[in-house]
Order: sequence, then C-alpha cells, then structure tokens
Amino acid sequence: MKLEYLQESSADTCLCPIEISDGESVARAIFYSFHIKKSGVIKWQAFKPDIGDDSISVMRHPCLSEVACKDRAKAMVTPQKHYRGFSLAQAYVLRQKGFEIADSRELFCGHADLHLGVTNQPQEPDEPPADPNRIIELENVCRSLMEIFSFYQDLMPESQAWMDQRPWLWPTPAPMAGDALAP
Amino acid sequence: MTSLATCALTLSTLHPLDASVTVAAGGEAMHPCGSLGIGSARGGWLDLDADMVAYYVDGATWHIGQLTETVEVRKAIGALRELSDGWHGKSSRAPSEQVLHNAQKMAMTAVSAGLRVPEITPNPHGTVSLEWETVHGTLHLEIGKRRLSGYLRTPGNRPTLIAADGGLDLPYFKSVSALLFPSNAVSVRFGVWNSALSLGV
Repeated sequence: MKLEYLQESSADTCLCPIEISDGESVARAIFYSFHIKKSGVIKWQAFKPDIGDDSISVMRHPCLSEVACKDRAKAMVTPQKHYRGFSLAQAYVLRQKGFEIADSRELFCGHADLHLGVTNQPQEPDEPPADPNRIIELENVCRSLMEIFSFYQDLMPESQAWMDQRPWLWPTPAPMAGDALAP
Repeated sequence: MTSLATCALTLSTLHPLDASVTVAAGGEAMHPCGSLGIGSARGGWLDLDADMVAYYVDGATWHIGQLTETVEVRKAIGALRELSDGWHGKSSRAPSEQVLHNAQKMAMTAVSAGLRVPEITPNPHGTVSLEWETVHGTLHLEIGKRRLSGYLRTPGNRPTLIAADGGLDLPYFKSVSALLFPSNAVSVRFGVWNSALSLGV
C-alpha cells in the first residue's frame, strides 16, 4: 500500500508528514563490501558525506515500507555498487546526539537528509588532507553515527521482499522521572 | 620475468646459502628474478607484483608459498580496482594505480612488521585508508599518490598526528605493532606457508 501511493508520489503529492517524529526509524542503504568490517560491523566510512557536503541520505521508514526502501536502494545499484542491506536508527537517538534530520522529498517522497554538522571538505585530488586534524574531525562524527546505527544485512538481496524478521520500528522510551515535561 | 616459484627453486639449488640477495627490511628492491618486492623482517621478500606469492630465506632453504596476510591485502586492494570515478557522489574519484600501489606497499610493510591486516577502505578523494584498531589503540593512515596523513591514538592520550611525504618505514610499524598488538610474535606471523609442491611447481 505504502509502496503504491507513496513511493510513486511526487514532492507535491507526497502524503508523508514533513515533520520527522522522534519515533521514526531512518534507513541508510549499504552498497559496498569495504564498508563492512570482517566482523560484520559497519565502518564509519559508510556515513561519510559526499565531497563538499555535510549530510548523508536516509530513507524514512514510516513513509516507505521495508520493501519500498529496498526497491529504492536497488534502483541505485550499478555494476560496481551492490545493494547489501540497511543501517537503521531512530530519529530521537540521532537528535539526542546532536544530529539534525530534515525531510528532502524533492529527491523522492520518503527521502531525508541527515546533517552531520561537519563538511567533507574538498581537497587536492588523490591526496589526504595535509592537516590530519581534518581526518579526525570527520571521523569522530561518523564514528558517532556508526555507534547509533544498527546494520541489518539483507541475506536475500536479489529478492524483492524484505525477509528479515527484526523490527524496523522500536518503541520510543517513556520520559525518565526528572525529565522536563511540558506544562 | 621468471616466476617466483621457478626462481626460488633455482636459487635453492644453485645458492642455498647465498645471503647476497637479501634486501634491507622495509626497503624496496628488485630481487634476482626481476620482480619488485619489499624486504621482510625475516629477510627475503614479500612480493608486490606476483599474484599471491611471497618467499623468504630461513637460513638454509628457499621457501615459497602464500602468506595468509599478504593474500588478504592483495585481495582487498585488488577489489578497489573495480571502482570508477563517481562511486561515492559525483565528485568522488576512484583510487589510481599509484595510490593502490602505495597502499599495498604500506599494508605489506606493516604486516611484515607484525601488524594484522588492516581495514582497507577507499575515500571519495581518491585516497585509501588503512586502519588498525585494538583495545590498545588505533592507527589510521590515509594514503595518497605522494603523501600520507593520519594519526595514532592510544586510550587516554591525545592523538599523535602523522603527515609524511612518501611512506612509513618498517621500524615505525614495528613500534606500532608492539603498541597495538603487544602479545604478537613475529615468528607466528610467518608460520603459514604452503610448500612449493602445493603450488604445482
């Protein structure tokens, strides 16, 4: 149902609310084997923005079902880029750690930008930054994301369906005693 | 170029105790069979050109075979050759042959110094990152065409910044190996060899 009327909808007809609620899950598609450690954990480099950018693409689970997310990810596949699964996180956890998420339906309905607050600065081609602090700055932020996101490897990437039984949506924890409450 | 397998057997027959072919550990040199290699901590070469082959002298006999770690490095670097420009956003660059050569040489020098095989990851700017991470610390090197940049971090300390033209030498990696893998013995690292017969020579 979601796949039928949301995935194909344009920015003007997108029925997904622009506001991203705290309870939403967002998914980042994983494409390269070198972004997965031998232990099966995602590397921090999987969260690196494109050159000159400070944000990475994610998909909003309430707007796109697991199957629609997979469909979108597979549409980005090239001969050198193979779909392997998703890294998932909840919006409120990302916000708690200081990250901003903004709907960007101009790309497609259900697309959002996760802002890191640090830009992957352009530099001399084929050379590392002369100042190693620039590596550390971006790496620290990407490592924070690595710790927040959980990797769901797709064991049947060729299939159209999403076969993993693990939930994509977790309950948002109730406020702890002592947390500030709205009057 | 004579294959390494044939070369090793020939040398074994003609010069079983010839030490003149030994190159300095960590140094890059041509060995007698015309292939480019780097000197290992144990003498002999880890070959950079021949596919999945390395050999060394143990004092009396030439050995040839596959060192698990070098096979793994070569495989990981080889996989990056499939990338083309634009693999990570429009402006991203695939690593050039020179960058891959430099990264492979650094990784193999590190392995020959006793470090484990690093996590090998390309970067959008066309560089390749080598990373070692243990409970004792992290070494991250970003390798380019002409220079490398990175850091060494140990728990509770500020990172030591690294920026160098060219590469790092074997003594440096030995010191890092002692830091990150304190219980690692070099003799164990060189324990996985296939016999010449298993290579069909």
